[in-house]
Amino acid sequence: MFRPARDHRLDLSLFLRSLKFIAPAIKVTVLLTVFALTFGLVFGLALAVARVYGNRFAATAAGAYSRVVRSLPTLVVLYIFYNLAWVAFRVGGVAAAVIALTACTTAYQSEIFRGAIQSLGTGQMAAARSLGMSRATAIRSVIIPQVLRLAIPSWSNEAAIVLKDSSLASAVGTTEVFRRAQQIGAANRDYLTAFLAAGLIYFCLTFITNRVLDFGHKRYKLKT
Amino acid sequence: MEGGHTLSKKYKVLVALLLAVVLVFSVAAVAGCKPKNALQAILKAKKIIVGTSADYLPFEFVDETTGNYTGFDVELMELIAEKLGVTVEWKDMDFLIVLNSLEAGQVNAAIGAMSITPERQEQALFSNPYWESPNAVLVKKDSTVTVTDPLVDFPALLIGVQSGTIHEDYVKTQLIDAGLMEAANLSSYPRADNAISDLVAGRLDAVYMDAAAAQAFTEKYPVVIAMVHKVESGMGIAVMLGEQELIDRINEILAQLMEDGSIETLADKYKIAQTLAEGG
Repeated sequence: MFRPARDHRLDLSLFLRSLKFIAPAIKVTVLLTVFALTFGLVFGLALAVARVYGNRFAATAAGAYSRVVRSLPTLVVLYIFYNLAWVAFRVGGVAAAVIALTACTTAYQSEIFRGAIQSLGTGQMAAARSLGMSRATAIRSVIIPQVLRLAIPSWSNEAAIVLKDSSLASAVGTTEVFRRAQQIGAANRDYLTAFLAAGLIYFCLTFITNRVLDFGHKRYKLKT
Repeated sequence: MEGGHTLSKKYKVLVALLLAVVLVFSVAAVAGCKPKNALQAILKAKKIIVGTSADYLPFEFVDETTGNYTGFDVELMELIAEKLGVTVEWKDMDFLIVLNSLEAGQVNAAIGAMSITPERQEQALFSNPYWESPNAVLVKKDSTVTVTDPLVDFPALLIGVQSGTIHEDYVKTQLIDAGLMEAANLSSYPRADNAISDLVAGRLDAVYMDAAAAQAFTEKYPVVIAMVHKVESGMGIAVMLGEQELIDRINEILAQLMEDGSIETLADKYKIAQTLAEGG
């Protein structure tokens, strides 16, 4: 049976102190998210193109990568890459977390872009080809610009997920928003207040991210 | 038939691909094995990267006003770094992954009120013990639970421990593996505070942990020490296996710090010595 751990009147002073204590780490969370999302965008788009337009080997490889990674919890991928990061790539700390988060979001973004490419239908490519464009040019100048615009709503969702998943990096030595909350929670023996402060920060970050992307979506929506 | 054929082919490609990935990583693993001589690398970088789990007052925690890592272990490590002529870069992580981080090459050293055990010595190279501390059993204030001997009393209780600690190991090997206690009665938590929260909430009867850390918990939570359990366990600083030169240097410095009373002074500052005295 659940009984509250203690008299949980919110300690407002600690809540404000927690916000102040956590604030410097927002930079780390944002950096983790921006890097993972950007690399994920490039690799994810490449995988999606490989799956739809690539030869059989490229298509299978891209599909297999996406299937394997999407079958693993982000935390598992994080631990695997944390262990491999130094040995295989000679990077440590935050970079290891960025690599792991990128590995995950690449797989999910490849699915988003694949869906967007397929929703365009085959007519676009046929038309571009009939105008004398090469396949590569058609993909670059006809398909991708439309795909990026189509994908914004799902991508906005993925951005929010990566932002929140960046908290997992705390487990492997990255002092970001969640870890700072744990630290001040431990120092004051009051986790609830510290996590409420972290929650407010995550909410604001996610809210801003989604609003910016909503604006982008409206602005760059395909005219149909 | 056609479908079955392409399916199996697809799976062959998939398996081949996975094997290729594994191969690449194993080659990288063999090729990249062990950066040569951590001590030289540390002196050259003028920086030692140290892993800890900063949730364990009074050994390692974060000072809220300065935002810096502090505590008995933290100050000790900084004294050692000073003697090495380098600065410390702290990496705060879950306790469970601290030793793994040494193996993974992500940190040069690890400190965290870590008792030296044979199992851990297979994972990392330990310094000589810099402190010895008994264990303690914490119960909720006003609780009717009494503990006089963990071996006798634990089986009837719901026990909480921190994952990866000697305390968890003790309950598992001495009680559960021996068939004296139900495995379901033991709860392991990633952080010590989580166990304390559950104790206060009444979801546990007792928490088993280091005595000095237990003492610190009694100051802010409604919990009391039911008994001090004298299992002497020396705490050590860990480095990657094979880094003999680094651990020799650390041992040398530890000997100096013990001789000139620095470690005693730190123990006084963080009230670790008092706990020992009270515990008898």
